[in-house]
Amino acid sequence: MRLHIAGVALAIGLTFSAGSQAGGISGSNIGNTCAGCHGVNGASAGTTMPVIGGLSKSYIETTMKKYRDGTRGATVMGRIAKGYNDAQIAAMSEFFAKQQWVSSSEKADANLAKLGSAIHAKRCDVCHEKDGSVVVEGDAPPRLAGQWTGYLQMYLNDVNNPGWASNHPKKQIFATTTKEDIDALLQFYASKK
Amino acid sequence: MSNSNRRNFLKTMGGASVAAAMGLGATRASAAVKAKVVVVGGGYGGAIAARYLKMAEPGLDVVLIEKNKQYVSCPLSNTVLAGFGKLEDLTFGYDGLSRHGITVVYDTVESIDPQARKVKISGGKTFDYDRAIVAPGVDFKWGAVKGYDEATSLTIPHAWKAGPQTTLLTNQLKSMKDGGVVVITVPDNPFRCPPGPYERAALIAHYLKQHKPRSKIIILDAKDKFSKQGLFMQGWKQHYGDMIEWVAAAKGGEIDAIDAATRTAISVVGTKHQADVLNVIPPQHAGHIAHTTGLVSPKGWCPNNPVTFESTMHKNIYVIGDASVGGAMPKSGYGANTQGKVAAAAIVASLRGVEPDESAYLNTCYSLITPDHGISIVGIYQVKEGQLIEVPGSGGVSPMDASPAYRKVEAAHADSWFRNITTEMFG
Repeated sequence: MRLHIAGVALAIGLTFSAGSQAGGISGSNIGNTCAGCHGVNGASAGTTMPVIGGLSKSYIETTMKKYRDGTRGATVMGRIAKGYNDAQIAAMSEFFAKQQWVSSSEKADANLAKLGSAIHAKRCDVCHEKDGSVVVEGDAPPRLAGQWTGYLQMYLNDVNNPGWASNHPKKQIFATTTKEDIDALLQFYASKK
Repeated sequence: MSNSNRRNFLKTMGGASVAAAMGLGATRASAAVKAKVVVVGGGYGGAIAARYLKMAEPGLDVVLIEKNKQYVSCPLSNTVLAGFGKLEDLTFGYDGLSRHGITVVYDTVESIDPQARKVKISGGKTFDYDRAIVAPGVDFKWGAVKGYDEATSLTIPHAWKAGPQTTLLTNQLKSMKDGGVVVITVPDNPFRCPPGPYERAALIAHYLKQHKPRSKIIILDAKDKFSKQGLFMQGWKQHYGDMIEWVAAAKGGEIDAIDAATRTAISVVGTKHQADVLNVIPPQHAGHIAHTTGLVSPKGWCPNNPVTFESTMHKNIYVIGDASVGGAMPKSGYGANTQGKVAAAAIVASLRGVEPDESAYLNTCYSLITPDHGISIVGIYQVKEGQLIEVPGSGGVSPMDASPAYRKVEAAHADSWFRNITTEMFG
């Protein structure tokens, strides 16, 4: 019965927006414009553009707002996020959260991935649980398993060399992380699909 | 509608009207399934529109009519001139669209009858439509630069549509002597890819610096300012010193004619620039079929309703991409991509008999100054009083004086951008 009520509300929402000039806000209309860079339904095909389809709604929403107010640095995302209001950000976040996560097509270096596995277990798994493959609502950190290495590298290189991407909430973890550690971590995440 | 409004609305609606509303919605959805949409042109706008129509309504009969069996991307084609890009990596077939259930027809469109809603192709076949999308891109205004017509372009390339023209210009650069002069002529706004000529100058300089370092590039411009100007000029200077000279319209940069026999560009003030390689980017207007269908205003571009991209000249025809007026949006690949999605959503809504939901309008465009030096421009747009304008306080270009690491990330983004946007079209 509950399901039926939800269905009715949806149908009325559609009919009602039909009468208004601007129509309603649909997640697909807002979210689809991101696909030129982030791939169809957020399944990116380019290494420096992260997969965003299947991340949690709260993570996407918070991240977009951080880009918008400048608390997370970026090359283009800050300029882009400033063009969207709260309702649009909520709609796109919900849209991408509903999509299936599609891991990158990269092949991992097995030896480096093994090294990376140990580093992940020691430093990262406490937050990015289960090999970084967990996506849950709330303030959970993002999924890393199957994320593109180009994006992760850009982000992690910047943690120790602050520029535009460094806003990791546990920055101190990276104080003793070497470039080799980062390379191994990237291969570990690429090995997990 | 806010949640509380929705609750109140629910409360006041009787059971019968709720059921009626649901029934109506269902009928409209099934009506949409039977509709026919014909898309003319399979570039950055048309291919995307076809795919998103099919994604939103798998039952739609979508026909894409495209002249060429292979599509060669203009974005990134300057990398071929630079020597590090390959034309085959920019070339795509339409099998992906067929796999998504779109009927791809390889032919030119002879005529569109907006009253009878029929598209006739040169092969003679006619396609009926409920809605049509016209995405023909640009055509060149042959003769607008005196002495420059289609035949001349076979020896003096424009290379503003990628493919054989790109190869022709690349080969001319390869056979040029060290110490030669490359002249690029640039038209006034609006034209396809506003930062393109300046990226081209940079990437030709990248090639010349390695192979013919005593050479020079002169840009003769019909404008006094251009896209990403500060960033380009800073990047040119940083990597190529004085190799690139830009001549603004105010300094006599606007050209009136070319003399093909001597590869000379003649400015409106009579100055002659003799080139070893002459690249004429001609003035442009909407593609041919938009003109013959009566979709074009006297200015040469197609006016439309920016909420839907439906033509204001003919109902049920939607014009997207470079051919459209586009308001504040530039004539770019990403702009066409956005417009294709807006038109697809609007068509699906109109077939269902509802108003379209709010749309987002985005442009993201990267230019390369070297393989490791990328710059970008971003625009986010909204419809206000019937016009497409930029969302105040958003968008803009990369910062001046950024670190080499920042420029390198943007160069890498350019490559990822290309992979994503072409996978979206053809994957």
